[in-house]
Amino acid sequence: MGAFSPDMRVRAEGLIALYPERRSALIPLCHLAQQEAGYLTRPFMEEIAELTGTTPAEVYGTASFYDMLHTEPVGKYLVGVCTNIACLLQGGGDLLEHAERALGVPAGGTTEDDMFTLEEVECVAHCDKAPAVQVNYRFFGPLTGESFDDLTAKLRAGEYDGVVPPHGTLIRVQRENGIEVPLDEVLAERREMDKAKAARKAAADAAKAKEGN
Amino acid sequence: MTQTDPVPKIVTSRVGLEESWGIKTYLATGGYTALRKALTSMTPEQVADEVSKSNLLGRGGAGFEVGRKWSMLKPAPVRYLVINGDESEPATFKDHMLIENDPHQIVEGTLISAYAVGAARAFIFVRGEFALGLERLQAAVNEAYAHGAIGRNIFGSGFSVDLVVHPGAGAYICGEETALLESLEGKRGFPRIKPPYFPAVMGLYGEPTIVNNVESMSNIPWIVNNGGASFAALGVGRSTGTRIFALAGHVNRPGNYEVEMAKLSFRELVERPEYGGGMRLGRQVKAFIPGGVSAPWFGPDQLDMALSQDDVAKAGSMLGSGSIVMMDDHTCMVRAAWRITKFFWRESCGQCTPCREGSGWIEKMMQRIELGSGREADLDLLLDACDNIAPGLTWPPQQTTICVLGPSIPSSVASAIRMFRDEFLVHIKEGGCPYE
Amino acid sequence: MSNPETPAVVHITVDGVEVEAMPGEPIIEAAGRAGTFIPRFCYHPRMRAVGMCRMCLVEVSGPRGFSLQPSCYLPVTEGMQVITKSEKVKKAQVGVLEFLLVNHPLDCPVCDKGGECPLQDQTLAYGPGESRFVEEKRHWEKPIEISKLVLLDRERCIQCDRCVRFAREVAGDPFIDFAGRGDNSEVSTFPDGEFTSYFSGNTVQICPVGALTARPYRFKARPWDLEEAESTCTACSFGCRMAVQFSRGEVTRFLGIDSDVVNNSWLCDLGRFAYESLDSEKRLVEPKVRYRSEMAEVSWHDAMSRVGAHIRTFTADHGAGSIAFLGGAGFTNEGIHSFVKLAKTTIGTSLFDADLDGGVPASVVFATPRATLAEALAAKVLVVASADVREELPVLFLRLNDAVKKGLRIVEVSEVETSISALAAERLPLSAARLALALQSGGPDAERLGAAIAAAGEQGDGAVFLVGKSNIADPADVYAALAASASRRWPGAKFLFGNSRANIFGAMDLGAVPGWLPGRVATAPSDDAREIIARAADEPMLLFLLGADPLSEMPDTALVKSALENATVVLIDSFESGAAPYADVLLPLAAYGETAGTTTNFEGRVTRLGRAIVPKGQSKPDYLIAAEIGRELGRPSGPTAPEEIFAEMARELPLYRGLAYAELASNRYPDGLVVPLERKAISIGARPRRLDPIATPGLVAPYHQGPAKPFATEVGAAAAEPGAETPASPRSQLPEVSIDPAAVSVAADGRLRLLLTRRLYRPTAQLAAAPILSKLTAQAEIRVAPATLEAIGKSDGSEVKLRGDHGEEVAVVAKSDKSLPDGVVLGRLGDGANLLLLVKSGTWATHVKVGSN
Ligand SMILES: Cc1cc2nc3c(=O)[nH]c(=O)nc-3n(C[C@H](O)[C@H](O)[C@H](O)COP(=O)(O)O)c2cc1C
Ligand code: SF4
Ligand code: FES
Repeated sequence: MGAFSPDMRVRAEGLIALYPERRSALIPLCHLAQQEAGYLTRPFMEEIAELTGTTPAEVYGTASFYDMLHTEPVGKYLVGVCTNIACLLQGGGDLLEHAERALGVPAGGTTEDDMFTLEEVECVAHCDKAPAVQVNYRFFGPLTGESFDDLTAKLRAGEYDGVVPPHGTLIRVQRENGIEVPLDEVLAERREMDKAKAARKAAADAAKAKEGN
Repeated sequence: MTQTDPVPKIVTSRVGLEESWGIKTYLATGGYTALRKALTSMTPEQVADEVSKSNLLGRGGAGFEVGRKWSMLKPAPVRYLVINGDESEPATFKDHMLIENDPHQIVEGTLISAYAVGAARAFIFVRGEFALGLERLQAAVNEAYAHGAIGRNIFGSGFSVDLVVHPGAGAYICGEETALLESLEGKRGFPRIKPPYFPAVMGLYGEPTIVNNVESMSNIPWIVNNGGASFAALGVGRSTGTRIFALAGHVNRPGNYEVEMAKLSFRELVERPEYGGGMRLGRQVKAFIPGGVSAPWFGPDQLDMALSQDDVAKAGSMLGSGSIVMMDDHTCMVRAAWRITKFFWRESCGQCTPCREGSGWIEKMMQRIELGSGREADLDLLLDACDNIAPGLTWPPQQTTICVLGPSIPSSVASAIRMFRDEFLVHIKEGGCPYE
Repeated sequence: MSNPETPAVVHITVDGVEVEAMPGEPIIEAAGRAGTFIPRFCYHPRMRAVGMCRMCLVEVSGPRGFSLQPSCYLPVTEGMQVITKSEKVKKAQVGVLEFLLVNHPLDCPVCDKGGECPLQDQTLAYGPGESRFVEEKRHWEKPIEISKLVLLDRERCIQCDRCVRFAREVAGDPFIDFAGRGDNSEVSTFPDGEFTSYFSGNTVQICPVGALTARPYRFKARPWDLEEAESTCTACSFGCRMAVQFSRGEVTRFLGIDSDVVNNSWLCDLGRFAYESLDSEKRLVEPKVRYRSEMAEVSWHDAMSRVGAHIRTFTADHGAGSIAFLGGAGFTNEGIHSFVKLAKTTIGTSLFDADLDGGVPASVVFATPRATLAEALAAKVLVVASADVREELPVLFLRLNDAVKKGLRIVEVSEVETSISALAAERLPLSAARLALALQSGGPDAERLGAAIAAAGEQGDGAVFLVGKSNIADPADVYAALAASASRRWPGAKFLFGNSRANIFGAMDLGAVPGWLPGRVATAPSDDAREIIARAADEPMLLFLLGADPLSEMPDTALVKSALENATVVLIDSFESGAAPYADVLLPLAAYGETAGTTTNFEGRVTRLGRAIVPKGQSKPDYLIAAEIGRELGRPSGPTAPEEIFAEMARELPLYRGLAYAELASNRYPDGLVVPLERKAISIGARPRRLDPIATPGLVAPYHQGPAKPFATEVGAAAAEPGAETPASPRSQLPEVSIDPAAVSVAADGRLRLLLTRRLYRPTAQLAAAPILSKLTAQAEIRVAPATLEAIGKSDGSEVKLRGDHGEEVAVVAKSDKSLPDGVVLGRLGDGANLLLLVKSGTWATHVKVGSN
């Protein structure tokens, strides 16, 4: 039995089909696995290796390069407080300290109820709303200590269900189309395009030469 | 310096419209007319020609002419187009805004470009953290397929191409175009060693590939509709058209502002009410970063410089990613530079010794100084360690590394020490940060 | 070069001196040849350059003046100017070293690499005088085991990517990778996974710091105590060149030598760690003879008396034809030569067979033109019809993997998937017998092979074939017929043979096989090992087992057992093998590293073996044991030192004419010579050994590494040697071998054909004596198509029973394998079940029934 559920396995194969080479789907498949399990479990990494023609060591090595891919469990909500320059200038550092106190865990830690994992993150490109916070990659800001507490309370109470999906679910809009034009068909078309282009160039050059005469 | 009146909004015209990201709004505001025009009434050369005439400079950071890049594409049966939407340069948030608010414009620009360069397939690589952007862009792609704008025989023109939205997974270095390609191939995001210097020679899967930025793409439909010459008529010299500047830090109105290139000065952008609206609490400018945290800093005396790629380069920095960070006189420069170094340390891919180890070392020294255990000798040591990453500490930097992330590390540290040595000494002498 | 657009050489200047360079080569190589060493860490001459460590930065001229560039990566171009010693370069070097030491522990005194560490050495030569780093270093948990053989100390790792590149690109075993990012990266296996590769030891050899260490070597020696002897590995017939390092009378490790023509510096783990068994308790170190039912330790003198008495008695009672010599493929050429003389001249028996399992016979080997490895790799197409190369000739697999990337096309002929299948451009799923029959009769399968060869742009005559025994259950005739018919069909094609016992080709050359006299001279056919064993089961015989164990090496275990029980057995071996309980006399044989001499690899390459230490206990080298027996029989004493025996071989046998023992390890011929020497000029040794101390740290410059020479110089050739006439190579006729159609018969009533293969870590007495390596001993198993298991209601990995045609039964673990065709059982030999039991001597195909109990 694979780690992916049958539905997800179909989606996984659909993702692979989007790329000229299977391995390109490695990261999208990791996202998909996180959507199912919340993080990258070993069976998922093994199945992704099989799907992409790599080894589990390569999947692990690749996934661990990326901040969004977790090979150990994280809380339901991954709370990232940005402290990079724009947020720092607007109090991001203080906000992180507040978050640590409020959640009772240092950055990198997970609350005992597995509800929140707190992270200090790099710029999340919401600098006009600094200091910015992302919860499962959904943005909030600018936040104060008070509005941060309010946010976490609401998350706990389930008031953001539907708006902020549990950790792992990144993109809720699925691709509706596969690849419409197979690569070799496209290449035949390109060869025709290139031929036409060369002919136009030759014609233009000839015309120029005539003009020159 | 004054802007052309009225300044056309080339890339941000739909921002703020209702459902600006949906195809209904897009079609109602002239969407996909440029694609139809290009595909049905222009040859690929004519499209490329207009882009060359526009002199559109890439908006990803390096500022390379888009048309020239396309012309360097090595002839080969398979070639790819990859759009860089990884935007992670700190304090840069313009691509994010474009992806969330006008995804169709990016799709249309990408398709036109794919036609011009004859790409076999196009990929838009979007920073993984942009969950909303990814959803809206994917929805836009779905709509565009349904509209017949992507896929087989687009608009009956005989031209076919597929477009794939690819999510990243959180690594700044994947914005560097060769690391991006590695990542797109499902690997660790290690920048590729040069030569070959350009993906246009050897890119995705070893095939010639064009990599362009999301904002660069957003300009393409306008250029096709209005002609390269009208684009080039805006701006000054090589800096043509308009450009989004992401203004952040201690200003009253941080935000993205599309302005005509090289017509305004930094000061005008910061102070004019429709833009930055002045410094927060009326304070003074202490220093600012003119083009992303990779860029060397400027002081208040450079505020009157024009927002021109060449002028800024001449002064020893860069417009880079179009992000401007203003710091007022209540800012601790040591802390600011430390935080930026920490960013590079966390984001170094780890291939090159100077970048991998140098970033960590410098970060540790900066932390020590900020927290009060600095020594005076540390300042020269810091500068020498910086010099060992980017010999001479010049801009553009000399490189001892594979990509330019390495030599970007010294920018802020060296700027801070050069401009605010006294402030460092206060930290060292007082054993802590005077701004605490 | 033929392409007029690529010049043969480009000219660059290095520090102002003009240097000739090969187009496309990196600056670091061109400069190195010209005598300018540029420091480096990540660069390895046998792997793709990655330019990561930045230690090799030099100033290079460009359109915008000089800039710092990685010399390991940047290719030379005409007119390029390179500066390696400027202030700017020095500052960059100091900078990189200082950065490297930022997170590197300064535990050199307790580090295995201390004393031979490129980081230590280059820091001394190019580094900062003192450390300016006062911060805390990064910490990792102390050494972790990434495999049974290799340990990783992540704190010492400098992220040079050598091990990861090796695993991925050279070995094709990407079971380690970098994990994490930036200075938080570590080399890692899959969590709880292992770096399972036959080649893992190479990562230890190329690690430029003490991050990767080999468990068998850890803390065994300090490098400055090490001495070294250049040698050749005898774990298989590929013949990797290697250095035997030793200290105070003990072998401490083996290192691969960077030989262009053989192993490119790589070794397999079986070869690399074989030294583990040398000082094992399980070594045979005293002569023993049987008194009543007990073996007793005796003196050599007493043992010889017993051996002499046996020979005289058997000769008197049953004739010299009752005395047979089996084995010897693990001996030195000098030992084999001595034993062949003893057998064929002194004793007067023709019964000698070094090839116990009936690989491709000498009659075919000698009658087909042999390719060198270099020729095979440079061919357009290589047809591989052999046992799994990675299991039998491991480093050949690495060379093929590399050659395929450089354009070699492989056509594989194999019923089952092997390690080669992934490299092959095409696989024809045929058994050897089927292909042989097709080639003889010209059926469609033969056309398919022809088409596959043609697809590589080759009409066939330029093709190279690697033919070896892919199924141990088959008789040798199948492979003889296959090679012979291929050679007839493509007369210009060249051949290599997959017989994998260490010196089997030397044994053939020296007449240690039936039908041949020393020097590839044909004689009347005589019984082969299989026939000798069959006879021994019935009649009184005296069997000399020369480092061979018929029980584990020959099929038909029941027959072998009765032969050993029936016969009088003299066992000459370094370890007590499975045959030991049947022996009447045990003579302790000096082990590898304890004896000098030469060996011959599968190309016919004769190389020197290095003697590092004295033989353990009372054991003696092979040639001395032969001499002792000769003396016991009253033969006048001949030469007793390897160089003298070799001189005799060169004098008496045209095959070796032109060879001199001393020359074989010289600067001119560091990798030996392929016999017979060709009359035309040869270019072996034309490229001197690479002088890259960082490539294999710890390799004490092998004696023969001379000063660097320009690459263009061709080293002189055998043509210059006086008397180098063509040896009496019997290019007579290819043997006519007919194949019984039974070889391709399909069994009725649900019986399946048995295909038997060996794996690298096959259980042997020597492997059992190696404490760490023995943990890797292969377990016997069979593989069958999933349907076969389903049919008997068994699941993957459960035990099944195999029943042979003659009532033999073996219980063995069965795995389900989707890639297998129906109708066959793939049996893989190993511990736990004896599959050889199922094979009957003299049958063309072995069939078994798979049952649940
Ligand atoms: C460290 C580093 C990070 C980069 N990040 C980005 C980025 O996030 N987005 C981007 O478009 N370009 C980024 N670039 C620039 C790209 O390498 C490339 O120049 C650009 O995508 C080309 O597009 P353009 O010509 O349209 O500007 C980065 C470069 C470096 C060296
Ligand atoms: S400079 Fe830094 S980020 Fe760039 S390739 Fe080197 S280590 Fe990676
Ligand atoms: S970068 Fe050239 S040897 Fe490492």
